[in-house]
Amino acid sequence: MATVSRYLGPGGPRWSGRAQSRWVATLAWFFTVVLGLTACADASRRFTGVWRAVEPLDSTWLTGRPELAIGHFGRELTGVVHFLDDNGLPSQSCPCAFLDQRDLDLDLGTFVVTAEVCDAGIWAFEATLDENGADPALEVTVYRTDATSDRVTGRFVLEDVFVSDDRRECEP
Amino acid sequence: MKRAACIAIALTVLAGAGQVHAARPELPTGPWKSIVVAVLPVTYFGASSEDLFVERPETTALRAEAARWHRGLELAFSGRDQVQVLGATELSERLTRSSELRRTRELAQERYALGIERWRALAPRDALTQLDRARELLVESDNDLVGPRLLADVEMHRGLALMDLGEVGPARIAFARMFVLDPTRRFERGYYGQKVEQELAGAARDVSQIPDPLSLVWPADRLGALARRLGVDVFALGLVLPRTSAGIQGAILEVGLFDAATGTFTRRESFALSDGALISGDLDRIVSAWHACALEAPRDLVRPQARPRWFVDFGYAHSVWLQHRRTRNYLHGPGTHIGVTFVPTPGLELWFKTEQRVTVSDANADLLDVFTTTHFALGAGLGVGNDGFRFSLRAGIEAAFSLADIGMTTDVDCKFFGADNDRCRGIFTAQSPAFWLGLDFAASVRIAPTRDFYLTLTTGTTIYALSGSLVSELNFPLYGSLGFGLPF
Repeated sequence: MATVSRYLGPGGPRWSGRAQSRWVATLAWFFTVVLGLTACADASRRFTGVWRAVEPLDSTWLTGRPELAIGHFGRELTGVVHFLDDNGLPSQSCPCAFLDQRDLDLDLGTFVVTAEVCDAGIWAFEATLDENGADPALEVTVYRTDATSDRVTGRFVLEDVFVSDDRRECEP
Repeated sequence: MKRAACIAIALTVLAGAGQVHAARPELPTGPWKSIVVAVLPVTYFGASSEDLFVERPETTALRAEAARWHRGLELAFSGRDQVQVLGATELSERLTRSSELRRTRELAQERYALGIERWRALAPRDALTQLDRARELLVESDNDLVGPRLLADVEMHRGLALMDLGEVGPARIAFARMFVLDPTRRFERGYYGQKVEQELAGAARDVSQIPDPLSLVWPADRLGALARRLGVDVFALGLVLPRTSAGIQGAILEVGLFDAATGTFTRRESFALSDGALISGDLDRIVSAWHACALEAPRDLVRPQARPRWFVDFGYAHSVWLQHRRTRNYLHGPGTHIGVTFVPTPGLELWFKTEQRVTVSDANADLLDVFTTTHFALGAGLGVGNDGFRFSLRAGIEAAFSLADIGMTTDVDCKFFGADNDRCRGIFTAQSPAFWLGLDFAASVRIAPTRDFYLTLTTGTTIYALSGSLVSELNFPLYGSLGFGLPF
């Protein structure tokens, strides 16, 4: 019987429990990597949103609560700066200006943009991202690039991650 | 106490049944394969100079015994499990199935007829040429083993032609070959002349003194070739010999079993013809012993399970556009994949696949919005491997299309403010539907831990040659897919 059974057709190999566990672990690792890679993509949009000054800025040449509407796309960003008074209303003299990128460092979380502010020259906004608080915030230093002026520093918090169409418009 | 004993007995019975169930050997699956045994005609090998012209009564009786034990040999094999018995008629039919062999035999007959004509026209040299060729053709078509009468005729006339040419020695050899092929041939006294009759008688005497006629009548190498041609596993052969053999008085029946797997005679036995009942019993014993041994021999008795030919799999697919002229980073496209593969022969496969991929924006958002592409591809491939692992190379054609506009730009102002804004310098847009057509090349691996499912990994690229404006913008998607499939 044993001799005959030796020549009878064998069935397929059975799948051991250890092999099953190995496959499950492999699949779990694979999906974790995929999800992780997906999560990493958010770093290229970290500055996108509407950032508004927490406290009114108080200097001889810049007052009110400016607002930065930033569009961040990987290694580039652009946007609009809205000049609002203490009550959040657009400034009558110069309501807004377009932003031009000067520098962007994703590792340090900093960027520098400039804006030609109506007839008041070119202003630079140096921002550093602060994610240590409850909400993301930018520590922004504003100064004039075309004339000697004191630097104005303020803290801008993220009001909205989504930049609506009206915040993208600027007609100085 | 009684209850405890009953429970113990019941548990013991159950445990035993479980063990028996567990120990039961796995039954084979698939159809069983028979051992094909061909029984060649048992002939009376009694060429004698005394029977040259008139057959003696004892010779007639021995020829009848040969016919009887041919039937006995067939009956000894019939009815046994996994044994398929073929007679001489079936063997001839199998031979004639081959058109090539049929044609060879027809050519041999033509040459033979031509040889006789030349011999009658007193042209023995020409006749010999034709008869030699006829002999070659008949041996080529195995007619020396199955239906040797025509070959015996050819040898007869070769001998006659050689006698006319004065080559007595070769003529005698031809006559001897004739008697080996047809030991019962008779002649009309005085028809061929005294010289020929003298050589015929001498050839008959020579043949009667052959020590091992079984090996001469059926050479092992010729039997092996015939077995391969006809798909026969074993030849059962027999000869009735008139003379006394070692230890046996009187005429004997010599039986041999030739195994095609080893190319040798695995069994040779001799029986005294005087006791028919004893022969039947001994023959049955020998065939039974062979039968038991044949079943244990390293021979596949079970046909292997049918090879699955259809494979259907689905899974995850991912692609990267290698050519992306309007974007600075690669564009990735995760998606799903469904594939169907048909394997008509172990090396060839025909495949079809369909994929749905979503090409997502890169980190810089140079691709303004995601777009979905639907892909259809089919082609052929060559593969190597076995049921557990297979590697194949594939080629085919692919058609892909997208129902969404494809917009690409590196201008950050276009991305933020929109295409209509004055700050936007321009966006490349491919209007929908977008269509690509090209050639697909891939390598595929299939791993089947069991016969019930498999995992497949495929990687390849598509070279789009026809896609309107998009060939230069987006091309050469490098893709990979990981799938789970079922064979049918």
